[in-house]
Amino acid sequence: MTNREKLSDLLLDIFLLEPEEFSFDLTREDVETWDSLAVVSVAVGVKETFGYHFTPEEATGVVRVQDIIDLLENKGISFAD
Amino acid sequence: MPTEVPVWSLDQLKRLRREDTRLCVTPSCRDRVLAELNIPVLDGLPAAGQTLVVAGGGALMDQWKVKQGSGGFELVCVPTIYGSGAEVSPIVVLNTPRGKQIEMDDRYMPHARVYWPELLATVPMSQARDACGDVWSHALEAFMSPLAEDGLRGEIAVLVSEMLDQPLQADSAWFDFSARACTAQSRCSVGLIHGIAHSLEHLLNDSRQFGHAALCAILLWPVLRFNREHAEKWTELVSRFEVDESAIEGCARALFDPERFEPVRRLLGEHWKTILRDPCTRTNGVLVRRGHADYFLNTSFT
Repeated sequence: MTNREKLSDLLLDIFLLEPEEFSFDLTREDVETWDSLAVVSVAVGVKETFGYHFTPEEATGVVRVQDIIDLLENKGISFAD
Repeated sequence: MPTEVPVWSLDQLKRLRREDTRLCVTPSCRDRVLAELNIPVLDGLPAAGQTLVVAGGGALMDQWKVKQGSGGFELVCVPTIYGSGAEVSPIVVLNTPRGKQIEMDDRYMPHARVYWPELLATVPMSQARDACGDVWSHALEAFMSPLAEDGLRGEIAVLVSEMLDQPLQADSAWFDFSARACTAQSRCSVGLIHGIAHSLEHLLNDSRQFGHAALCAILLWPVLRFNREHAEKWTELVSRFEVDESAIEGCARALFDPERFEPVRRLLGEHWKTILRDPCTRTNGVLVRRGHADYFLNTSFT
């Protein structure tokens, strides 16, 4: 499974979305279930899936799916696959 | 962080002025409480400026914690059983037609609390044992919470070590453990045990067999095992904070009741989506995902 697939699977579960509702262009405004508890879940899920622990500032600063990818790529986790 | 609720002695409670005080007491210990306290039983709502003494479990205390702010009366809580920690917490769990509703507000903090351990004698032994599971679930879910900081986890580790020395039966020591565990979880969060309990309690329709504390006791071992098997966090934390993992698992297994778990398990699959949406589930130490229902449906926990 590629890192992009792992991330989309993770976010489908956290936001309780169906696959057709997901895209890597989603922002927090687009997703009703992307609330403050989902911010916590994203941090927990990223740690479990990619092994990187967001700082509180990083976690609360994520407002787009692309922000997660950018943060992880900066830590050497590639999404080029 | 909310301020601590002062502890009054039973003598302090007895010195309250009769004309300024009203009493609301759960039926199971009504005679015992009325024999000791010379306080009129509440009829309707307490008047502004009065003190309301509530002797009972978490649900009864929560019911009055919500009303005290707008009602202008002071609330003194006398827990008749440990577990909920409602006497020290700004959190209330309310029963609504749509299920459990959780609210947190510093105005819900009681004015004082009184521990009256002799009232434990009015509680059935099985209920007192289940209440130990409620305390354990608060402590361990707070320990694992993604919102807990290491300082808090250190406090919980000390608490857990003390709890491991106490048998799973009625004992006044559990009142102290309960208050500390509940204070800890109010500083971070609880997790999947509470998410499942809050989602299913109203569907199980047998408050004695499947009240909140009973569900915590029943679910402690399955959820502990789930957390251990689905992420490294549990193993990492028990190692870093030097808590006795095998002793904790021994307690959780001792509280597990496979016969009572089966009706719960049967509801889990059907209501998994509701469980996933519960705010407690969403702050579990390990991320709970859609496919994880299968783990609880197919694993033998005995």
